[in-house]
Amino acid sequence: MSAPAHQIKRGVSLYSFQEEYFLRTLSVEDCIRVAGEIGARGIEIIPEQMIPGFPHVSDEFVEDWFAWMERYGTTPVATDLFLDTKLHPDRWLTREEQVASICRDVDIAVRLGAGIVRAIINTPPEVMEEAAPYAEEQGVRLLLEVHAPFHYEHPWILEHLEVMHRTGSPALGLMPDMGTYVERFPRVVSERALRDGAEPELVDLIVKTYDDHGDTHALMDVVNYRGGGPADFGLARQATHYIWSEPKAMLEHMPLIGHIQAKFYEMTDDGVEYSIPYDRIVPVLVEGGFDGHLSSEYEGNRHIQDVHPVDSVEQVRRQHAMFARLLGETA
Amino acid sequence: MGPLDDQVVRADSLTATPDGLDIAVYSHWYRALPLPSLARVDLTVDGRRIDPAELSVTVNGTRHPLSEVASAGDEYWFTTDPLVLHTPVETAPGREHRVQLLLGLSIPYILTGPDRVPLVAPSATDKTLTAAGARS
Repeated sequence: MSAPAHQIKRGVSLYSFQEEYFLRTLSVEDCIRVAGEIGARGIEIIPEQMIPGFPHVSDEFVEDWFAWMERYGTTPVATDLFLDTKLHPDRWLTREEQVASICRDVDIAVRLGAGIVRAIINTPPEVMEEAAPYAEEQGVRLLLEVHAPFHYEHPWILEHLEVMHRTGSPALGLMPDMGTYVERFPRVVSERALRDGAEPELVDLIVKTYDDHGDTHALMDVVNYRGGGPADFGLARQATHYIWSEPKAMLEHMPLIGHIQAKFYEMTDDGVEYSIPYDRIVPVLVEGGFDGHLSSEYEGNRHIQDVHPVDSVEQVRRQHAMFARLLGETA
Repeated sequence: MGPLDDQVVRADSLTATPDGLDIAVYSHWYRALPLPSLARVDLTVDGRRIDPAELSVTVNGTRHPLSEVASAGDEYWFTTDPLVLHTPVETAPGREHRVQLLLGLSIPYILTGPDRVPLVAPSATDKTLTAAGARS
């Protein structure tokens, strides 16, 4: 068997198991164990979700964390930061406070042995620029998530790219979220809207407009003129939050791309993602020489939890079976 | 709002104390939130609306009047930890209470509209539960 012609690794954001974690059927340790079993060996964590006592990270947690990594054959890869610009109801966080918040989260990543921090999309470019030297000193990369509905020509992303190219900081880069490649409207979302009382004709219109890559921003007006209710408006709004763009757009930015959030909503019984064409995304990453992690981010739970027990583990397992196939690890 | 609302107030959430009824409340947001996110606590017990000025909350072992949580930005309410709402409702172990709670969590990084108003994630609870005795 020939060695794969790429260095792409597989991992999972423990966010994927949020339903089970919330319902206390999986602990953090359980999440890491199943990740190892699935072969998603690179671990991404949202410290605010799963580290009791956040923002303080106890020595005890750190000790357990590394013991779990060893026990289950996994490696810490990334943490996800948030920037609570409206932490205080009466005022905006100052730029200095924003930078301090980023640096605090860099310190947490260092404690957990993760070399990558996901910078949330609302992080201003100037805050990234100011935090970059500290991140570099700590050996951590701050990667801006490129999350739907943003894309590489969006003014906000262009401002970030300007900072990244001008400073040339090795600590700055991008983390594309595969929710930017939703080619077909997720049926788990439209089916939920129907259960919530949306009008079938309006649901069809919204799904068809999205699938035809039509003007989703006009849908709110149409729903209004057709007397739609809250579920219809919710679905129309949702249609503006997903985007489809050409995955090859990542090629130009590949030197900046350090991690992939492999968002997904539904792995079908046939072992494919219903909405996101990973069979056309993975080859782009291979072609571009991407050598980081494809990190699962399951987000379908919220759309099915009203009718089915959620099985995030099975969903992540199926996504990794697909990745293993697309990466040439299995036939 | 969704089926996870069912987890916000649980079967064992009520505790009778000499000072009144305590209600353990769980967050329905997926990450720990700073305490100022507790933007709306609209509580009715046995049909009587409780004035928010009469409420206090305990999180991470520290008690705060509800009116002061807006300035407690360093305190985080963790995803799997209860926040205890202290109410002045008279009770005793074994007594049943109907608890109606509209909880609005202000999400400090998801800002909406031209006024940059934080998204408020609501949950609604309406349960009749039995108060346990305070653990000594």
